[in-house]
Amino acid sequence: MTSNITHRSLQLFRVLFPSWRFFDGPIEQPVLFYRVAAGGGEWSAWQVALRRPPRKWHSLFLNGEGNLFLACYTLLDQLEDDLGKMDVPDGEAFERSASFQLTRNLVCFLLRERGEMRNGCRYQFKVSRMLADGSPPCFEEILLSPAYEG
Amino acid sequence: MPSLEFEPFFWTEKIIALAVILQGLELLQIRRAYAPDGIWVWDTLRKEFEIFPSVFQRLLDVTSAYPNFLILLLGQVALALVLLLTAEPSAPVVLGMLFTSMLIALRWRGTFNGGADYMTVLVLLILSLAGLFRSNESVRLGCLWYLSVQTMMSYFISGAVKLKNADWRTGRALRGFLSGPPYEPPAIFTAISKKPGLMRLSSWVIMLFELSFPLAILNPGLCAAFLCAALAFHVLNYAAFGLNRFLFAWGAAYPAIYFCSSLKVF
Repeated sequence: MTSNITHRSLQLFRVLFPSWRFFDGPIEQPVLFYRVAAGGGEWSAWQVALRRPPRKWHSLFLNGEGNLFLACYTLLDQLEDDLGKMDVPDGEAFERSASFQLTRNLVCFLLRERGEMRNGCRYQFKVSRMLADGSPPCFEEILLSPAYEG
Repeated sequence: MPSLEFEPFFWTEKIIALAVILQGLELLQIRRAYAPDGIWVWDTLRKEFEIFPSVFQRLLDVTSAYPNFLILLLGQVALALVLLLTAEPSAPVVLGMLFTSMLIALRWRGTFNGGADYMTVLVLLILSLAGLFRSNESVRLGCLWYLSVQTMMSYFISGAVKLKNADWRTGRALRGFLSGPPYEPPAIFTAISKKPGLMRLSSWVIMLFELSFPLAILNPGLCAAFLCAALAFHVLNYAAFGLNRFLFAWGAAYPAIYFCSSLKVF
């Protein structure tokens, strides 16, 4: 417990402890998918949730959307990291974690922005790891959320 | 000892001020992401801070809740404008930027943009220290050396960890980063990622560049060449991976390296 708190504090203050290990992480990245079902209907196919915004010349200076896109992937990394730290898998406890709730917020946010969050709809999301060198891409499921009412 | 009136501090202050203004404007651009119906909602995040003393939690409640966080960002941009536009800014301006940068990083669970945030805070920390000891040239010189060494180490360590990784040595890692999430580079990079020979060659060029970067300290000519190459490297990183913030955050440290290289200590 104490070591968890220490670890969490260090994580939150990591800006004071620079790490210069860039591009040292795994090539395989977690990818977020969601699906929706309008008012009691069938589930849609799983869709990749995060889509890179177009990169323009001026986004060298102001790249809010591009950096938001990268921050969403950082959130998925944190989710996977937190999931890996659980000694015993406990879905309910994990659902209460900040990482899970932020990921759920992300899905709701995207559904609202894309006009897919309608009254009475249901949605569900999953996080899968894209395996390197797969052609077509191969995925390994890390987390599947319950179905939620929209 | 050479005069420290120049120049390295002047340029570092101006470039980091520009970097912080751009970072602040970017965060204002995406304010919907941390608004109450956004993603990084403070009510969700605050439970992570329950491990800290209540006084600190209350401070974060004030600075991180919406719309207060917007005011924090605007305050930081205003301080950065003061730093950019005044000839001799007072130490509290830089200290204010440092403090707000740390509060902003906390609001993003540690950092918003990883490396660029580390370098921004490092530069602001150094400038704060130098500002507090404005009349002590030894401390100010030490600050410049510390910033130079950290910046050189940032390239060197990044190169060393890649060299240790077999996937980098074979080009597989670069191919992976160029061909999918999270960066999803433009089509031209995805196309060249399919050429294994080019990926291996590019990986070795990157590793050798990063590992040899500390040589920049040897003399100003070599330093200028390394800094130009580094600028090109960061522009390429932006084009491929969208990492625009690195260019400005690292750029703020370059005057310190150039100045130290001109001391010809080695």
